Amino acid sequence: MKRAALAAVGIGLLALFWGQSSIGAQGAADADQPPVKGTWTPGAVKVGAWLLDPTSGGFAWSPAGPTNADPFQYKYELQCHLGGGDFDAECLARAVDCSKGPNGKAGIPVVWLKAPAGVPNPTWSFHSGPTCLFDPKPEDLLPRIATMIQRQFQQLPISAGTSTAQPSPNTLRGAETNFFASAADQQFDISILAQAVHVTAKPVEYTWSYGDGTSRGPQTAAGGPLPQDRWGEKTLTSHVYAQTGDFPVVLTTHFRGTYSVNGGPPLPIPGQGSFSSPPQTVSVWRSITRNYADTCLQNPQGQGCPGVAPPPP
Amino acid sequence: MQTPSVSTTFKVAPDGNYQVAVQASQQALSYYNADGTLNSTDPKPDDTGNLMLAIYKNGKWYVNNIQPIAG
Repeated sequence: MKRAALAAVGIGLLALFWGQSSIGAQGAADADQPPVKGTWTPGAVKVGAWLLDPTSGGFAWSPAGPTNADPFQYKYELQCHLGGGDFDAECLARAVDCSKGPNGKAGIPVVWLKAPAGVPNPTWSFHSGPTCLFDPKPEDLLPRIATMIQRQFQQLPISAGTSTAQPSPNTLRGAETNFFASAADQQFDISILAQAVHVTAKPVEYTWSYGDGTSRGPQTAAGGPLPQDRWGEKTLTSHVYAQTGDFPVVLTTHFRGTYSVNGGPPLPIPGQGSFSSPPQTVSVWRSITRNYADTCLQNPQGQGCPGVAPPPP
Repeated sequence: MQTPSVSTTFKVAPDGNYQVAVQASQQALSYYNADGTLNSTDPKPDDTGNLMLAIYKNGKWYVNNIQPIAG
């Protein structure tokens, strides 16, 4: 219903834009009309979205679908600002009190606005506020925080989570050892340029270093525990050791973060923060299978029977 | 329903379409019964960014698709 209405309005605007009197919807019977690009296929729905390429100004289709992309862009404006040098005096009288900031400095009341991401020159609508920014130059505060947030993110005491091996602490050479990661969303409150910044970190990808010179990842699969009767099965995160020995396994968890300034909207932190767990030792043993014709009652001196020395390796 | 921002570069993309970025703004909705009483309401949803894919052929504009913009 809404999509149909959107199409109708969009076509109307298109006609206005180019001054055309004939449009696709009216020319539906035209044999030259190209097939409509559907996103349905017999077996599945193709999911994706368009992403703006800032260099070309064009849009590129992202077939997998950006899982963590925020569909909005944000900015703030001074509260009661009418444009230019004009302020609404009546509004200012009721504006939020920002006089008591950190270090006794006064702040500036702002409101946060949002608009759909990727739309050039959008119309902005209210998001949240009013809230205070404590800086002498609030107009460029956010870009300055944005340049610092990535380094701050990498320095946060984010826990990489834990890696569990099945079986553990001992596993067998040549067998599938199942590894899985447990990492949680984490939240931090820090201060940047005297602003209260709330950071959330969400684990998105995992890399295992198996200690035998091989690694897996980064990949989105965290793996999961197997019931004991299924140990040895191949999983998305399992590994086969070719040698015996003790191997230090290190899990590196890649986090994606958002930050929010003084209670403002969550803004994406560019890139990922990577954090590694302390090494966890996995002992890889070998197993030898021997078959015997007799029981220990029939042949008490047989290998493996009580009191019999093991054979030389 | 309004489209407060509509823009295009007038360049044909590699897939052959012109790309038109449209901001769609749906107003709050009120549904009324036949006797004039209010039945239910939908609040104003967030504005959305949509990409209209159009071609120009034989002197006419055709809209091939409208799909969401993620960022």
